[in-house]
Amino acid sequence: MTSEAELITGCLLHDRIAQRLLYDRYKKAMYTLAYRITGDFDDANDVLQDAFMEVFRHLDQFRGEATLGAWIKQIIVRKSTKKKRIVVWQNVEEDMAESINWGEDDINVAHLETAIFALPDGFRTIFVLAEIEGYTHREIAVMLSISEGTSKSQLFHAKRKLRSMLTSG
Amino acid sequence: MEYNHNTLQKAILKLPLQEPNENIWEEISQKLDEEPLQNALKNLSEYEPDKRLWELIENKSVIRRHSPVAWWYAAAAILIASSIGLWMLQSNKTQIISYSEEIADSRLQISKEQVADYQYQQLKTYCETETLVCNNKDFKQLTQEYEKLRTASEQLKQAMGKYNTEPQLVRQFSIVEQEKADVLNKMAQMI
Amino acid sequence: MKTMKLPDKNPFYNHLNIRTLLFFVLLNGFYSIQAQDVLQVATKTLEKTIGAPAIRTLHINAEKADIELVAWDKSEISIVLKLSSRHSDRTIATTDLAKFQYIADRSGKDYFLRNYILLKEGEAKPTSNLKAHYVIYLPASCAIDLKNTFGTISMKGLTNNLQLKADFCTTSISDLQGKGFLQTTFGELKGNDVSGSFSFSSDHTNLRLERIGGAIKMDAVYGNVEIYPSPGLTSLAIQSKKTVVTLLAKNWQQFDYTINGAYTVMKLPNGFKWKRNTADFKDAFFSKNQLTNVQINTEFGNLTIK
Repeated sequence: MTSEAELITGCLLHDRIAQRLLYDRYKKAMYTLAYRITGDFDDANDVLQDAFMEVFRHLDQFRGEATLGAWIKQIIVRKSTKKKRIVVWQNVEEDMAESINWGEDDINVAHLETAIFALPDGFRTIFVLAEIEGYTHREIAVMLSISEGTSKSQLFHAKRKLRSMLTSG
Repeated sequence: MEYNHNTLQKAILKLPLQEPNENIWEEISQKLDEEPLQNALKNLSEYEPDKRLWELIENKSVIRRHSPVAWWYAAAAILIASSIGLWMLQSNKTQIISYSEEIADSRLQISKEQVADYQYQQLKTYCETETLVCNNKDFKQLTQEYEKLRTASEQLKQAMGKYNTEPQLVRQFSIVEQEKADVLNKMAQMI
Repeated sequence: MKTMKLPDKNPFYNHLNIRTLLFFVLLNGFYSIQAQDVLQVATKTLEKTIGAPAIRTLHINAEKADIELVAWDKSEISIVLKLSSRHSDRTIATTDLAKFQYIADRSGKDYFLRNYILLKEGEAKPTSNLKAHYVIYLPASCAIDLKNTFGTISMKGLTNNLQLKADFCTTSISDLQGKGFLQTTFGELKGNDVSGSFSFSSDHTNLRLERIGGAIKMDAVYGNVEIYPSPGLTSLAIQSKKTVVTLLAKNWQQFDYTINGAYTVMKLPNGFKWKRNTADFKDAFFSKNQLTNVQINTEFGNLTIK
């Protein structure tokens, strides 16, 4: 398997095979992320295309502070939130005393997916970034230009809503 | 507090991955192929039209001489009009024209000078000497809002022209003029 | 259309009876009409039917146009475009009409319609009142990308992607589904029976949306926003600045609400809990863990929920 460094070198030389390999390596994960944020297959396709065009145009700016996948993911998140004009509300009610119990029984995955897509855009974005993609609240705060507190609060509300939907559904 | 978080995580790991459309790579590849041409087009030189051209346009005179300047203007006018660039212009020369008559309602025509603009000019003159209030953040915001409304009003007047037949444009114009008056009142109250 | 004729000038009778009075009133009426210009209207028309292969997106880039888009159950698109020029002098109306051009062209699965003014070298700007009128019947599933200024827009029955940019227009949308982004400056936008994923961005526009469902986002600056949601609303997010916002619902308690206002005059029904309620800053919420969330964030202006 071609190493990341070899792929990058090939792409910088505008080698179409290297570019195709890079695209194939990341397309599923990035498309899935775009779909989960935008909630729409067509929008996710547009985001994927735009994002990879940006990747190939600006690969020379990739400094290697993170992995290539992480760098591409950031582009996908930015383009997805811009595409849907997602606004994350500051000042959401801060009371997070209520506890959330996911139970011991397995959660039906299809129900979970439906419930995630029923979340309002802002809640869903934070949930996807924190719980599925594993970003810290500090990283999310920087990506979305919000405070860490807002990220935590939004995640709490998203989970509360999800739990409620899974219980009633 | 959150309990049994691992139950959620277990389900999340089973969430399906999605496959993008097959043609996405084709589209990316095509755009990558076109990149060198697009970059070259962006770097094309810009040309400055002859200064005399503006005078000629203003005087509405016909340019009879076939100077290079005249050709550039013609090319520029056509390029601007067909901004999509690639489409064939529909030839309208053989079009049949039908004629009818209408009465222009004088109530739909707008007078030239609006009172609010005159009063705004007076306020601006006042601000040339009395800068304390006029430099206030709120006052400046009101000024910006007035300017925006005035531009909108001018655009509407231009769109209506000399023979307006659209009552909804007049309606919009009245609303904008009213908003201008409200803003002006607020500005006057601050002084 | 007949040309208006000048009435005969009749003498004023000494005996004021009803008939004379009526005549005098009519006379004044005719004089005022006579003071109005008779306009010569020159019109050219384009009629087209676009058949298979089906068009995916119809792009309309119009100015000073009245546009009617109506969905029908045929697979083709029918277009009637009239360009007209109005002036008191027929010659000038005709000359100006020649400067009023259009594009009607296909590129693969996209169809482009456009009207614009084209000046050849040395030509003066038109002085006539120029107007375009589009009447388009199309399949409901056709996507639309529409721009217009200083005109009217009416859309009915569309179910696919809609991109709209309307400046100084009077727009009306009805029976719309699918998704879209509608951007307006000035003018007004009236919508009813709109359901799907729609974003509205308005600046100095009067918006009135009735029976609106799905996931709705609004970003309003100045102007007015009046929303009458339907039970089919799944989420509503409003961000407004200096706008008068009114949300009217028969059963407002069917949604959860998060409201934040700065310098806003707020009128909320009983049942809301206040997190902050000072003269300048108000944060309120209403939560019954319902599926539908309404989030409203306002700066200045007014907010009323009833």
